[in-house]
Amino acid sequence: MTNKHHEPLFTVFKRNSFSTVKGIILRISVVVIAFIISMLICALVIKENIFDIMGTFFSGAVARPWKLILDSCLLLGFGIAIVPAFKMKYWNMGANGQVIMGTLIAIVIMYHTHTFAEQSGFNNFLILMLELLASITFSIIWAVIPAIFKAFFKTNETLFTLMMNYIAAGLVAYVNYALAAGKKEAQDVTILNQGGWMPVVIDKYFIPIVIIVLMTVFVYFYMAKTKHGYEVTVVGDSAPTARYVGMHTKTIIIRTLALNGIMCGIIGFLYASAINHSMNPTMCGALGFTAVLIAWLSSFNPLIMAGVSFGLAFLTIGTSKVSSVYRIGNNDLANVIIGLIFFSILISEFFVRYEVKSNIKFLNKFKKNKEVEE
Amino acid sequence: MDKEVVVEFRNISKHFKGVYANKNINISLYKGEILSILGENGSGKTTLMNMLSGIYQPEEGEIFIRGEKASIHSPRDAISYGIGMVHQHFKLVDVFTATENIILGIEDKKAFKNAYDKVNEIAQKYGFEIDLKKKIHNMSVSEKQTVEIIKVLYRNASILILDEPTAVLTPQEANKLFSIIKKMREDGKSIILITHKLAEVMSVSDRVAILRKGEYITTLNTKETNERELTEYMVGKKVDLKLERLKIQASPPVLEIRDLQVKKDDGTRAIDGLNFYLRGGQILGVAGIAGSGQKELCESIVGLRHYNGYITHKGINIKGFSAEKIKELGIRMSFIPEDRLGLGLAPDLSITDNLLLKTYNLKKGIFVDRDSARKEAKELIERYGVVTPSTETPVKNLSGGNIQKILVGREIGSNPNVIITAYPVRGLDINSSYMIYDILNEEKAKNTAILFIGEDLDVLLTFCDKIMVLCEGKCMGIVHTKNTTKEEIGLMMTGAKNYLELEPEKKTGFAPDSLLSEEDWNNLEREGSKNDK
Repeated sequence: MTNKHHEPLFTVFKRNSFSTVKGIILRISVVVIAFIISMLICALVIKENIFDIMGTFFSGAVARPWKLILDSCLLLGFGIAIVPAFKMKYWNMGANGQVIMGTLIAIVIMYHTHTFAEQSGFNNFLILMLELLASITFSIIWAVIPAIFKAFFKTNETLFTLMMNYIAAGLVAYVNYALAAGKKEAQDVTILNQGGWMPVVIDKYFIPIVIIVLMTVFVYFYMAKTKHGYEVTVVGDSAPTARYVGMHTKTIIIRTLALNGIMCGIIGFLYASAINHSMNPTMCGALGFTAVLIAWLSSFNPLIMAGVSFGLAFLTIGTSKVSSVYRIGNNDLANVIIGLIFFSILISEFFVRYEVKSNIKFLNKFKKNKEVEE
Repeated sequence: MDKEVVVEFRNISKHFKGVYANKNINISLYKGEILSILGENGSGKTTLMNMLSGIYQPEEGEIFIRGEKASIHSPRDAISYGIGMVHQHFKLVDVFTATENIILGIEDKKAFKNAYDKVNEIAQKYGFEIDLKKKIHNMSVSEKQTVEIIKVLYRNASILILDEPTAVLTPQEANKLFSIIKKMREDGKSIILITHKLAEVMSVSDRVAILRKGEYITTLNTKETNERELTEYMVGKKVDLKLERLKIQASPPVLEIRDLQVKKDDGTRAIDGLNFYLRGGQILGVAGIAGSGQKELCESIVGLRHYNGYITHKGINIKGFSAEKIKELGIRMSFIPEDRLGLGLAPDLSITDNLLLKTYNLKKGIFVDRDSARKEAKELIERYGVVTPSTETPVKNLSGGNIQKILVGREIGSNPNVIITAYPVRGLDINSSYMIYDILNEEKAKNTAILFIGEDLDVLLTFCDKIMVLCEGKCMGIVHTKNTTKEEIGLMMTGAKNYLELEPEKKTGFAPDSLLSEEDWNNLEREGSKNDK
């Protein structure tokens, strides 16, 4: 036996238990540390006093509270919309496409009815309802097509929904172009007068916020208390078991994605009627994907999702304020900071779930000494 | 005479999620001996051997190989120490031949040239009967096992670990394996046999080491002990468990199955023209080598798999009915499947939610009623002595025996008149196993018809009323357990004895007191062929 056998330097073990309180403290402290580090990086790049930068960050984040809450709610809304599908282990990557299809049809309706509504005094409420219904229908179609293929032909939903995003974006670009045809310069269709707009209560963003909060409450009860929610969980956990007890898995998949579509349709409708009054292929940014991350990080718990969404919206607005005040010119710095914080959250998740034991001698000695002191 | 110690475990401990799988194990293995490691399921036998073969690392303690302290971090390290393990689940490439599989992963290019000759030499030396040019996917389970063993020998292993090698073999195949093992011993190799079958321990091994709940109990010389003593060490107390066959007046056929044809997932034939019937108050055992169509048989009866042929329940043909439809007809069929966590239970859900599976849809309204399910869960936990922190614990966190109690408890709770069960005691400790047998006997006393798919022939022979033997999806005969022997069943399992051919006039599997007259059956057949068109 000439082989030499070395002990590996580190061994990773799955943790036996980790108290919830300890976990929360660890996660929060990691985020705080990552935040301080990112502020230090800002200070280095900008060459300004770190406290000034932090001041700008916080004041920027809370400067427009309604915008802050709306952004949090949009993140939350996207996340909530995909929760039932994800609970079913149906990896819906197409929330973006499903939302903008809703926006698309609502904008088309607004475009064709707004002058008409203004002249005849046609009931604005009816137009809104028409928009809502059409948005929901279109989003359901967009969400259910891959679901039908999944249920009947076992296609991979991740790729399918992802591709549906591109089709939706293409359609939006095309309709924008078609509606603007004949005008001097091509631009996004924007509904400037108030035909088909959501009435303003308290603030422009108030009604959308309320609707998304209601949606969150609904999903919480749907998943926790109803038979449908129960079926979704069982199908996600073990599809053969669902069949074994006589559940119609195909129906459940399609029904759940229809619900997903309804929620995306509502968000799309809010974009058209209350938030943007216009559309373009990139209007949702990466919300549909960030939402996946939020849902995962919160283990699909709507309450935690609300907290995480708020934190993320706060960061995004704060950092973009820093970018603009110190004339960095684009959002790259903001992206670096958000990336850093996400990365540190992932690291903390690793340490919450696993334990690393080192086999390096002096480290162990150090540890033992520490234990003795304690 | 002092023999050379080749492997020594010193104070080995290993735990998973805070539960010790092995605690302070001290065992040594001599050169040229067969050592059995005996213990119930979950006693830590496989964990211990996985540490020797480099799959796990011990958290405490040391392993000494030939007197030197060893650190084994991968199966590759293990091979360099001359340790080879044959796992319960084979790891072979289906489209390769036996020889190709055997030399797979050896980096020495010269080895390829004379591979066949060298492998053949090994096979001849120990008396393996195998066609080395045959592809794995054409092989039977015992042939695949042979390939695994030769693979280990080809790598010059002098210490062989066999993990439950006879679980997949017929009695005849097992005997052949044992004679090969004995030949290896004569050749100076050391063999570790992991098992929970006492008869095997007594017949082949030189010494036996006993583990119980992860702890090392003792090592005994096989000659100086007996099965009773071994059981006591294994279970930890005097056991007075005996399997009994209840004598019940059987009632008319509840399920009659004729000309059943079922396909496997890959489209090949699983069940080929099977006829049999189940009576209330009777347990029909099914014997057969693993993969002879048992799984497909169960799944088609409970409506989870498409089939051709007729399954009639009290005279009604239930062909094409889904599990839900069967339920609607008032047929109370319970199915205790082989893969509990994959089919039957939802592993991430709580005990309460798993009990809900069968009942959540009975009540009207859109909400699930968790309160009454929780009450049921509490009753079930108490009645069957399930060990769990609470009713809200995910079932996957429970031990095998407790998981099975939940599943069986739920299925029995629905008050069935037919029970279909596949390997219900697989992975359970002795006490839990007997509890399951008792429950099945209670159900039998209630005049329930039971189909019991088993693997341990001793159990089948003492527990069931009749045994149907399957071989490659075909019935080899249905025999009364009173009138048969283990050897006969073994012959039927390999297809060497076929009662259907020996006694064709007996009409095996056709109930003499069928609820349908021959005319009705013919009508069914005519309807069936009409529908097929």
